[in-house]
Order: sequence, then structure tokens, then C-alpha cells
Amino acid sequence: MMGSVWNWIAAPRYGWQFAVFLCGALSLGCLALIMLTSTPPRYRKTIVAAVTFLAGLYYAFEFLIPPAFWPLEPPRNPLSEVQPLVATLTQIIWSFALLLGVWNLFVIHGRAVVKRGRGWCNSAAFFISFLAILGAGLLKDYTQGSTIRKASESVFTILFSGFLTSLDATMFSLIAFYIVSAAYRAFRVKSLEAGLMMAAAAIIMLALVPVGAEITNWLPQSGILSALRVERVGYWLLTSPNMAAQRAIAFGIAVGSLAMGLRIWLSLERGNFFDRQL
Amino acid sequence: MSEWLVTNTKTIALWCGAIATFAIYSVLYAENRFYRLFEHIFIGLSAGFGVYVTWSQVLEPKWWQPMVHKGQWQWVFAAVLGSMFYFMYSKRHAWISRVIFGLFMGLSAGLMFRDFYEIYFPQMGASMKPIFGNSVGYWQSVNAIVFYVILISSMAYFFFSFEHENPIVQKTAAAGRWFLMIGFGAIFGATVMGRMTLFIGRLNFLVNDWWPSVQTAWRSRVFQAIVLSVAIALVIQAFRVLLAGRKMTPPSG
Repeated sequence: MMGSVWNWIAAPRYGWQFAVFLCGALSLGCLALIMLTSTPPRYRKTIVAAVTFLAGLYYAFEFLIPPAFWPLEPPRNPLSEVQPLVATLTQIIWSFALLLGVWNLFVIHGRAVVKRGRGWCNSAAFFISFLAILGAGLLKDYTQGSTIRKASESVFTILFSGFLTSLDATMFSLIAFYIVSAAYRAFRVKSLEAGLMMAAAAIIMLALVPVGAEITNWLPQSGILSALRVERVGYWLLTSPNMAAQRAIAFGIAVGSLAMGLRIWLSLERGNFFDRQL
Repeated sequence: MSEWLVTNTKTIALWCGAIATFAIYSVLYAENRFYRLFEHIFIGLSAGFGVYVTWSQVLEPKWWQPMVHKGQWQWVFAAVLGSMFYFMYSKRHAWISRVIFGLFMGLSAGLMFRDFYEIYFPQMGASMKPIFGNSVGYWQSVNAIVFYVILISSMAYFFFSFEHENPIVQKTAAAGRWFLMIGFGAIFGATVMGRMTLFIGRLNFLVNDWWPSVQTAWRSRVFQAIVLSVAIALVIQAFRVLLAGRKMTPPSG
């Protein structure tokens, strides 16, 4: 009975039926939102905690309960079967949040353009570049006419390959200068720890450039002394001591995130975000 | 115009890339308008591209197409749920955005159990390296011992459940701090070199991709006139900056 009702609800609809079901679902959603807006303050935290707990419960049950537990033949976990749907739904809902960031950018730059304050041309450039790449991308995907399509493809290539890729790579390469400059200004070898860190960094950097290999080129390529060649020492530092230290950090993070996850799931976490009056 | 654009797309992209590269690197000398402009263009392009990719790779194929073209009207509920994020702009009903954030926090918290099992358990197993055995060589043994010593001492440093009063624990944790510093040094070195690789990539682009295009364009009189005009404008600007700097410098003594 329940199955047949569910099948009837979930069946695809076309034409006027689609319009009716879509409007009905939208009205239902809006009604739920209106009900939420009129929720008394004393229940709000409970609702948030309940939603958080139930959402966490899905993945916890999906992972922890073995297939043999469910009275199904062949043994399987029904929660695992809906996991792709949950993942897609999560991705879609999360995608709607993207405009939050874009909205903030629009507000800040829109204000600058309207007020014509200092640097408003830059804000205008932000809008132009935003609309240009979005428009070119959508035009190339949705236009049928070959001329507009080809032109929009060209504009998209220019904006993406010409500007965006180059700006991205250049911006990140710029960090190299700032890291080195900051290290030179702030880093002083005044303790054993600082010395170890600087020595490890120097060896790794030398090991990754040809001049590093040239420094210890007088050492043999094979035999026990070859282990002292800079490139080998660098490789060993990366794969042995560094790997062990990284793994220790990763295990610490893993235990910490598990505890944190448990606290968030059970709404035990405290702090500015969690304690605020709703 | 359209034909010209389609034919010269590659060349235009090349020149745009070069101009963008120069604009960003110009900040290494000093903060300037050229850099600021391209910084904003970068933000605009990134945001626009993000919206485009989200629509074309997530919302359009996974939400809009099934809903509108396959009659799966239930997907409209995803939009209702997604709209809950935007209640954060209302002072009165901002708490509703907490519901949807709570949903995602709960899902992430639930996923942590799986992650712990699927990501960290194999790593724990992989950390248990054999020290002795027929297939274990001398260097492998040494490496395994080094690995254990560093792993245990680094973990001892992170152990905060009780105070490090025992001298053995204290020494182990101190050694752990040294090993962690070696790890941080290795990360620092690798990061710097990674960024340097990007820098070399940009230089490679300028020298091997863009410069041949400049040499080809140099044959044109129009291009020579443009370069000359830009060079004159730059020299004038440099003089203006220098003169302004001299005026602003307070007299010494």
C-alpha cells in the first residue's frame, strides 16, 4: 500500500500534471517555510539540533549498521542504496549557497560603483569580467546559431585560457616571493628547533633544483656514500622523517575531527555560533 | 568581427595572458593601479566562472534537466531547501539559515565516522612497517625504526590528555617537537619550490609562447607604433612618479 502510494507520488509528470505537481510542491515548501518563520524562539534551537542529529544519523547508520541487520533478501543496507541520491541532493542544495558569496561581492562592488568612490573603475571591471565569462559560457552552451556560438566560444577561451588561467598561476607563483620574503624577515635561527626546520627546508629546496645535485656531484652515484648526495638526502627527508611527522599530525587531526564531529552531531559544541540566541 | 575573433582567438589569449602576467608581477615593485585592476578582473572572472561551472556541471544536469525535461517535479524541494540559506539576510528569520547549515553540519559529522575508517585506518596499517624479516633489507630496517621513533615521539608531543611530568614522556615529546620541525621545514621547502615551479611556468610561457608571437608581430608598423607609444607613456609616467616622490620626500636634517 505504502509502496504504491510512493510510486504514484514519485512517478514522472508531464504537461499540465507537471505544472500542478510543481506548483503543489512549491506551495508545500513555502508553507513549511512560513511555519518555520512563525516558530516560537524557544523551539528554534531544538529544531536546529534535531535536524543536525537526524542528518548525521543517516551517514552513521549507513556506515555502522551491517547489511545482515536489515530484513531484506539478498542482505543489503537500504540506506546505502539511497546514498547516491543523498549525495546528489546535498550537492544541489550546496550549489544554491554559491550565490551567497557572489551576492556579497555584488553588494560591495555595486556600492563602490554607485558612489563613484576611489577605485570604482576596478569594481566596474569586476562586474564586466563576471558578466563576460558567465555570459560567454552560457551563450556557447545554449545558442544554436553557429556564428554566435563560435564567437562566444572564442570569448570564453580568451577569458578562461588567456586571463583566468594566467592570473591564477601568476597569483599563486607570487606567493613564492612573499613566503621567502616573510621567512627572511621573520625567521631567525635562535634555537635547535628553528635550526632543524631551516636545515630541512634548505636541503629540500636544494634537492629539487639541478644546482643542488651539482653541489654533491663529486660523491659516487652508487655505494654507501651515494646516500649523502643532496637529492637522495632530500628524497629521504621527504619520504621518511617528514612522512612519519605528517602521519602523526594526520592521526591527531583524525582523532580531533572525530571528537569534533561527535560534538557537532550531538549539538554539544559551544561557542559564538552555537550559543547565539535564535 | 566575429570571423576575426574566431581566427585570432589563440593569439589574443596569448597576449591577454602575457599582459595579465605582467600586471600581477608589477606588484613586486610596488602596489599600483594596473595590478589593482587585474586583481579585480581575477576576482570577477573566478566568481563568474564558479557560477557558470556550478550551473553547467551541477544544477543544469542534476537538478534542472531531471525536473523540467524528465518530469521529476520533486526536485523543486531542493530549491526550497536551498532558499533557506538566504534567510541569513533577514534579521528576524536568520535562524532558518541555521537549519540548513545544521543539516550540512550533521551530514559532515556523520561522514567523519566513515572517513576515519576509510582514510585513517589504512594509514595506520601502512604505518606498521616490518623491521625484521627475510624480505626486509638493512636500509629498510633502519628506515622503519626511524619512522617508528618519529611517529611515536611526534604523537607523544600531541598527547594532551595528561601533563608531561614523566621524564621519559617529556624527552620523547621534546624529540617529537624536533621531528615536527623537520617535517615543517620539509613542507616549507616543498611549498616554496612548488610556487617556484609555477613561477618558472609563467616565465616559460612568456619566453617560449608569448615572445615568438611578439617577434612575429614586430614586423607590422602598426605594432611598432603601439609599442613605441606605450614605451613613451611608461617613461613619462616613471618620471612623474619619480618627481612626485622627490617632492614628497622630507628634507633631511
